[in-house]
Amino acid sequence: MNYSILLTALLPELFVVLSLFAALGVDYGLLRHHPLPTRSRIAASIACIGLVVGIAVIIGQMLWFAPRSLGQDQIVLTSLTLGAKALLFGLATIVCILSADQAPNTHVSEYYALILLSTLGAGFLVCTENLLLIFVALELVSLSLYALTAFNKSSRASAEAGLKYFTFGAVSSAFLLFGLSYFYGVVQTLNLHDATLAITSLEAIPPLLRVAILLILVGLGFKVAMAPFHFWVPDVYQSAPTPVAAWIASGSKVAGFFVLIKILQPVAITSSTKAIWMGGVALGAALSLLIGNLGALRQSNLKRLLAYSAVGHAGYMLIGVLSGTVEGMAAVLFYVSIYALANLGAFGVINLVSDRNGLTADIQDIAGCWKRSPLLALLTAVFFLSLAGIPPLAGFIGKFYLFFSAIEAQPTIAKWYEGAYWLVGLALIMSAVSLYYYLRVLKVSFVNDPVDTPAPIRVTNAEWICLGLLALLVLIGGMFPDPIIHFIRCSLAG
Amino acid sequence: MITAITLIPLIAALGAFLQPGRDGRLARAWALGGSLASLALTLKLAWSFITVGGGVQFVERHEWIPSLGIQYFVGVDGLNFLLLLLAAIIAPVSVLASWDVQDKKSIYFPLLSLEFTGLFGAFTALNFYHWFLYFELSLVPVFFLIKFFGGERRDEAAMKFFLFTVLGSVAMLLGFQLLYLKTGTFDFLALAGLASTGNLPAMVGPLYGWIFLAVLLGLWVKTPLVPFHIWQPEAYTQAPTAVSILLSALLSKLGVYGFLRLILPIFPEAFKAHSVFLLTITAATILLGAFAAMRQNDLKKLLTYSSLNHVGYCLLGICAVGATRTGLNVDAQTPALQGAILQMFSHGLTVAGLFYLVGRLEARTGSRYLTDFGGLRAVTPRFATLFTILTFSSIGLPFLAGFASEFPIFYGSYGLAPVFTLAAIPALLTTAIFLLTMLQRVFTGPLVEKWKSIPDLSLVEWITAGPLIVLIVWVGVTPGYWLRASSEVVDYILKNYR
Repeated sequence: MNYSILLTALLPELFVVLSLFAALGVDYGLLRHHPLPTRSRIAASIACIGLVVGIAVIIGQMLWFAPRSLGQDQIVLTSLTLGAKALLFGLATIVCILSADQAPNTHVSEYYALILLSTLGAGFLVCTENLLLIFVALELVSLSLYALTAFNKSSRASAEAGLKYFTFGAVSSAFLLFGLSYFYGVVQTLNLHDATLAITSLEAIPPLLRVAILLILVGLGFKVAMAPFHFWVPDVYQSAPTPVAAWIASGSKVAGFFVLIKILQPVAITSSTKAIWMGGVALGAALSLLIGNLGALRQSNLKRLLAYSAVGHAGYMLIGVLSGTVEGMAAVLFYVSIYALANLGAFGVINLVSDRNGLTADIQDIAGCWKRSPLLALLTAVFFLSLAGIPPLAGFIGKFYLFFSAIEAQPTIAKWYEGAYWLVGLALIMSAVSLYYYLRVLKVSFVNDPVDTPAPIRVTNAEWICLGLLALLVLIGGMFPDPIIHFIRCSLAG
Repeated sequence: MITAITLIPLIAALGAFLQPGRDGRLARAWALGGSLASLALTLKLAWSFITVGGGVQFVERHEWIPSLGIQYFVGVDGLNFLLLLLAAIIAPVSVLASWDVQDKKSIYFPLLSLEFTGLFGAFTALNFYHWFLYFELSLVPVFFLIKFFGGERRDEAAMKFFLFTVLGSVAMLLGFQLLYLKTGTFDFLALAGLASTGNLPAMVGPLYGWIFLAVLLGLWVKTPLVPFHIWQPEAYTQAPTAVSILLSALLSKLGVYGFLRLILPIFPEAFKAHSVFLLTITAATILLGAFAAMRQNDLKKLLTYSSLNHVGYCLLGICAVGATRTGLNVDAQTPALQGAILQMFSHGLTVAGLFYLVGRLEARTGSRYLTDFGGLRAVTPRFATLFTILTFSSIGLPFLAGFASEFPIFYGSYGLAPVFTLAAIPALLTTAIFLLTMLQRVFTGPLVEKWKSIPDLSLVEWITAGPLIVLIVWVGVTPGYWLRASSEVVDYILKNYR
């Protein structure tokens, strides 16, 4: 292996690791006796610098280095994987900025170190096509997130959520590992590309493959919040520190769907192998749609509401996964990116109106936002309306494209349950239902009067820039989605 | 130009929303300014609109999302010309109708303006994607306006309205996505072109019928026709006056327009096959509207059912065309369809005026129950005159707009589908009965004591209702002038039905 090439390939990660150590070192070396806010801000800045430099390097790689595959697909750098990695780094940067003004506890630098670690894991996850590396990277993400969820040591709820997340997560990882090892048993290779070849040359489908795929689906279903493996989601989203919840809902979701698509690719080629998992995924999608959207109706806690809506959105995206075509994957990737942006924005707003004032993200926290800070109310509207799929925001074209790809996968059907028609119909009905709870949040923010004496909403400049940027991206993504769709489609087609 | 007409209200909405101070003083000025600017541009457009031989005019066409075959494509032809004009006229009327809204102005007027954008956009779009986008967009402000500013049962009304229409459009979205997959275009005109060569059913294959039904369902709910009209009475009566005006004058036309733009040109075969079924539904709608209106005591509810009945006439003309037997009475087709197009315009004007005046009456007296009134002509003679003219137009008296459009419809549909037309005739009589009864109850008879000192028409009311009356008389006196705009496009559509 050529080490200079390997170094170039991993340069972005290297910068992130450097900033990770720098943040830890500076915090414990130089800033030990400084007040907490200073420490938090400096550690966050160091983390952000590392991530931003990383993004810059990734863009350089996209221009001059990619496409390239190293070590038998252990690291695959195409414009798509690099783009996804840049997106993840960008999301992590914003998460760091959102956390900068309020440290969850005294271990400031560890907090950022953990976020950077999970970012690294997510970055690897999208860039590898090696089963073992996928598992390792996924564990890196998960373990960092377990710790981050429980990071608010003074809060019992946070600790409980962390424990729940960890227990469920560990079990699902075990499922995934079992599944991957059975899968390996069938295809005799760790490389997904070779696995595809091996599966297409199979004459009959071995029962072991069925078991393997089932286990993998259970394991990954947990990671992407697919019902019925969603039980951890509401508690974790509600009790984790809000920026962490934002990160779980955006970054880990992007990585999760990326890896789900990647792993299903070898078994999505022929219709006989497709039949193994389609029923399961269809069921998962339908359940997620129902549980997520109906569950969200009754929530009065904003973070819990977003948690149920996350389950619902997983349902939409699974419809795209189900189609198993390039178009479907492109639609899922487009949707998940847009969803991550809007969701991060929504959590960012919650962070400002609730956590900053020491509140618990009850829906009334946002009451009177329009009177307290009109700009913030407008940004809230952009994020929530995009989640609801209202044109001209990106959520609408995301859904449009997703449903379109699902129908395209099987345009002619003989029975009603064939194809994804019934699922698309269900999804459309559920998106009408989802409007109700998203609009309820906006109603409270625009129409209701603030509860008793409202604290003014304090927003730093960096936070304004982040939220503004997210809103702008959501808007532009909705008005002019073509470049992004074109990019994803072309890079998927190779 | 069309883009400007569509976007000006949006800018006005933003302006009204973001004005400093946010107490909403300037909000209605923004909304009125925006709607008047759109009206001015529309009038300019109407001035240079070529009625015969112009085809689709003022076209703006740009690639938008090429990877999904989506173009930005707007234009005006004989089908939507009158509707665009109607929307531009009704928009300022609805702003003026909400002139004395006091509560939460900085939310009310932006929502109203936003609704204009949705309507202008939906009437001019010629590509499914942004047509649907505007179609959906027009739901959201109405939902909120009803929910925040409606009457006692507003929550229920808003929810019902929203769920029904969303379910309808869901079906439509699915249908069109499927159609795109088979044909590779979202372009209404291109689809109509494909259909007129007769190749479309073969291209689409076995799902043709399902797509037709999906699109039909969306329009069915929007128009609405029996039995999906059940959202309508609640929504119309619980909504604030301006929204009742928009709903009855414009949103219901969105459904009828959908029949003309989507169903007739794109699905001729399926439409012919289902025409008897549709005619049955239409006749039922017409009759139900008329008979239900007879039993109402609430003026708004009465107008709602009468509106259901009048919009039914449009559909009678349209569906009769589908029922044409080959070679039989083909010359009855043109009046039926042209009448339907004009009926949208004249019903829009009439019903907007009526809802406006009922709203004013309610503002004066706090009531809109027939049994509460009597003898108002004595105290408010001018008000009574305007109300009477509008009612007569609604009944279909000659030299007023209602007659000008209903006559060709009945003339045409009698030639094409005599049974259904005859079935609808009792509705004409009933309409006359309940509308005249309404006039009699409100304006004649002994004057009720407590209304002795209510004021007559104010200047704002003159400005609002006056132009409507002028237009109604204009259409009534020179119907040929107004029918001409649609002659060319009607000929084009009818090629598939000869």
